[in-house]
Amino acid sequence: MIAVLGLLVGVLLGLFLEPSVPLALQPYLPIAVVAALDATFGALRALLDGIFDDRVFVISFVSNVLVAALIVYLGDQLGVGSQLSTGVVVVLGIRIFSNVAAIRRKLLHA
Amino acid sequence: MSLSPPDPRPAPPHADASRELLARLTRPDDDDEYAAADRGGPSSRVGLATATAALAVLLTVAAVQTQAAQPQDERDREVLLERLAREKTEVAVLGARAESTAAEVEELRASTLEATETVQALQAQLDTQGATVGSAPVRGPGVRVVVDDSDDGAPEGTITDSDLQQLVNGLWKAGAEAIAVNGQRLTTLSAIRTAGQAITVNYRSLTPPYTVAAIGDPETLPARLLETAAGQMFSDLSINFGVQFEVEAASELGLPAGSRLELDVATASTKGGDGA
Repeated sequence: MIAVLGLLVGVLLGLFLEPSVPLALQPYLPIAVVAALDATFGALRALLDGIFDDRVFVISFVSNVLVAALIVYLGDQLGVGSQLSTGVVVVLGIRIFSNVAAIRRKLLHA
Repeated sequence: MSLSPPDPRPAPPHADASRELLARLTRPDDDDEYAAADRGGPSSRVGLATATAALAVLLTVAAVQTQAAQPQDERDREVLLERLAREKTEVAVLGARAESTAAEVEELRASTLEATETVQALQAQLDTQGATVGSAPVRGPGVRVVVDDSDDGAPEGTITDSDLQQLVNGLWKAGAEAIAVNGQRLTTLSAIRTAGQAITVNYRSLTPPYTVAAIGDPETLPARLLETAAGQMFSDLSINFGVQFEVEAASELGLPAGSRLELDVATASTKGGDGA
């Protein structure tokens, strides 16, 4: 319940405040989104497994986004930002795929 | 990814590192945070709400951003297309200019060629006139006439300036085209005269014997010289007073350019004078 409330508040905040992303942070937005999606799908799978824990979700969500942004930032400083972004997206993408596959197995038994 | 079943066996210690990495990536159970978590800790409802709100904000902002970027991209595309068209016209203009410049270059090259030909013609004319006037060295066949005072030193047997003048005049009459006396080229400004004891040509004193080199037809020049009054005179002097007088044909003579050819008063004029 509280999660749905938070979701609603977040959507409304994003829609009405229309925070413009500074140009310097532009490249981190897609990475942050992918990292957040990874955490979300992990949480969804844990929920279906019956082992969901909100503390773990919060920590994994925050740390995923931060670490992904940090890696890309480091890559930018080293001049290999786009390559590291690709690496992060690939790793997180694989994790998302395997989580979704687990969710699918759980839901559809296939 | 789900097609490959999880490998329960532990990887051999020297297994291929990249294969191991791939296997790990396709086995999500290994790094499942929730399975390994120490459940039973204090659950934070505020944290959950904040995390979901942050997630929602992230997704919303990303969506809004993407939506907003669309018209911008469209505008960028239009600007680029416009610039492309402008650059194309500029390229066309520059191409036309390059063509006209090339034509101009061709024209200039042709005119340069023409000017070069004119210069060459003028140079040839100058050379011819220089050879005639005496300001340019000349080569060609001719005769060499050597005259000298008689051995006894009698006044009748001494060559004078007028003797030399007569000889030179005789050579001109016999068809000579260029004459030098002891290496002094006769020009339009040359005089043969006596100064003190010596005969001078071009203001240079000469010492006997006098060698008069004349360029002309070597077959006719000696005979025609002997037919002139000067030839007759020198024959008489040679017979009667022992004056040396030798005429020999030369197949190749080289006469130097004359000196002192500067004009101080006279200027070139295209108008023909009446001679008065």
